[in-house]
Amino acid sequence: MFIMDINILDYLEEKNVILGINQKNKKNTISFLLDNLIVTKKIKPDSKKDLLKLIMQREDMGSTAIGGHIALPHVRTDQVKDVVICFGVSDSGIEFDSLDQAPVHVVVLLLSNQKQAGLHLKTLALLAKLLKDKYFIQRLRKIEDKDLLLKLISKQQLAVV
Amino acid sequence: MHFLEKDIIVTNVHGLHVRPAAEFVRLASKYDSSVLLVKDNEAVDGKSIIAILSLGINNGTTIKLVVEGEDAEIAFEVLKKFLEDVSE
Repeated sequence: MFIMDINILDYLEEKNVILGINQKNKKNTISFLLDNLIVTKKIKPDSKKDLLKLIMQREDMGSTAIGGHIALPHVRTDQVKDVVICFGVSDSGIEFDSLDQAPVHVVVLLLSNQKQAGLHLKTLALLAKLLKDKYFIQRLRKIEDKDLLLKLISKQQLAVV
Repeated sequence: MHFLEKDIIVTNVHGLHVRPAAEFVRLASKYDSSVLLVKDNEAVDGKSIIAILSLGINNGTTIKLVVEGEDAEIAFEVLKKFLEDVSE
């Protein structure tokens, strides 16, 4: 199968999981997620301005808040060598210009290397497979433990691929 | 009730990623007919972006387009054309 050969947990570490996001809008949220990637040394501090601009340009072409309370802002860039993910959860909800106008509760920022178009699409597909289950999203919203979130993602991954 | 299905090779260089998937759903949702996309025996709702995205349709992938309903003929033609010629 096309996406069974990747494991989302190869790219997602506990330190890049953020629970209880308080940001209320898209730009602030993406900026906040990028800050996490800087602090955890996944991207260089001086790359933030360009990345934020690129991601927002991508959002302006069509929102990645594709309904179902999730958003998958993403970009391919030479600023990363491999897939980098920051996984954010907001119980209160983020105004993300969603296609269904609903607030976003799970936002996953995905950065891939410019040359990894195939892996980029595979990772997006796997994220979509994991997150299209609305009950799973409801469960994630209420989680207060990052380790438990990773365990649930692992379990969900086994169930859907 | 009208029913049409056909295997189609997706030719978009970046595959059916978020933007083309959203555009496909926008087009599909104009019609009353049900729309399914099938890849590797997995069928998903062609009116759901996340469902389409979950198939991971890359350039050159063969998928089956299945349309059923009163306006299936026109919907099928529009969606088939889109899949065969995604320019983004």
